[in-house]
Amino acid sequence: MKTHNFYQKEEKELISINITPLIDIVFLLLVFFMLATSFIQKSTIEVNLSSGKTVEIENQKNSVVLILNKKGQIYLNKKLINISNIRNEITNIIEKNPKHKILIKSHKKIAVQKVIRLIEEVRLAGTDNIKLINLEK
Amino acid sequence: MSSKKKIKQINLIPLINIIFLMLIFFMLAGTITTIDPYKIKVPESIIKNDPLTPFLTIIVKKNGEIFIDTKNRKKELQKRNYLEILRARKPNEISLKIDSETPSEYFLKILKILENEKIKKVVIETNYVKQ
Repeated sequence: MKTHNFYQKEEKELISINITPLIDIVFLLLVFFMLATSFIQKSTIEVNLSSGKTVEIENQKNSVVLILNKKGQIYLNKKLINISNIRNEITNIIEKNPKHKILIKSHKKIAVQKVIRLIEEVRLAGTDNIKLINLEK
Repeated sequence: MSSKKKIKQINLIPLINIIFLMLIFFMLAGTITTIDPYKIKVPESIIKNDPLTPFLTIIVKKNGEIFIDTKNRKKELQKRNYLEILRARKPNEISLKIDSETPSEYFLKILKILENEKIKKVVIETNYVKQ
């Protein structure tokens, strides 16, 4: 009878595992991943470097000039335009003549973010013929 | 006696389950970020492209300072003549990490230099933002 009790006690001790160290480690891992991970999705934009000389493009009849001035206003062939309309306007131009080249003239003080947004709008319109230059004025 | 003992014990199993689920979520859904020594806020992009891992990255700070970053960080991640490194390495493609608030004159200047150095492909690092 006594031996039986001893075995019962031993069996109970073996079954209960101390999980506190496991929880500690899992907590540490959780804190590490919460602090070290980021949910920002990385992306890239390819820039076309060799798209012809600026003067040649400007003199061509089939070139479209987009001006981004100091205030962030955008002019499409000297006409003030909203950024949300650029895609449609350029799509219409390209549909008429797919060989059109887009010349983006940006003011030297304007932030890169705005230039990139403009490049993306032109890309989404369906052309990759983009040349970037500084606005002289 | 036995009921008193039961009250004192807290069941930790649901807590562990939730912590494990959270851990798995963060491990799978997130990407581990590397520390950026220059604190560059890259421009936002509305087009999603796969990020590349080119051999050379040119870093352009808000004030127009240019740095070059290669895989061998300890030796070359410092301000020095980046043109020398470019000419020595002759990379086919370059990644450009430029601050979103950098004036475009610096951006165009670096593009012109890369064009002159006959770099075939230049990609600008961005953060994808859903519209």
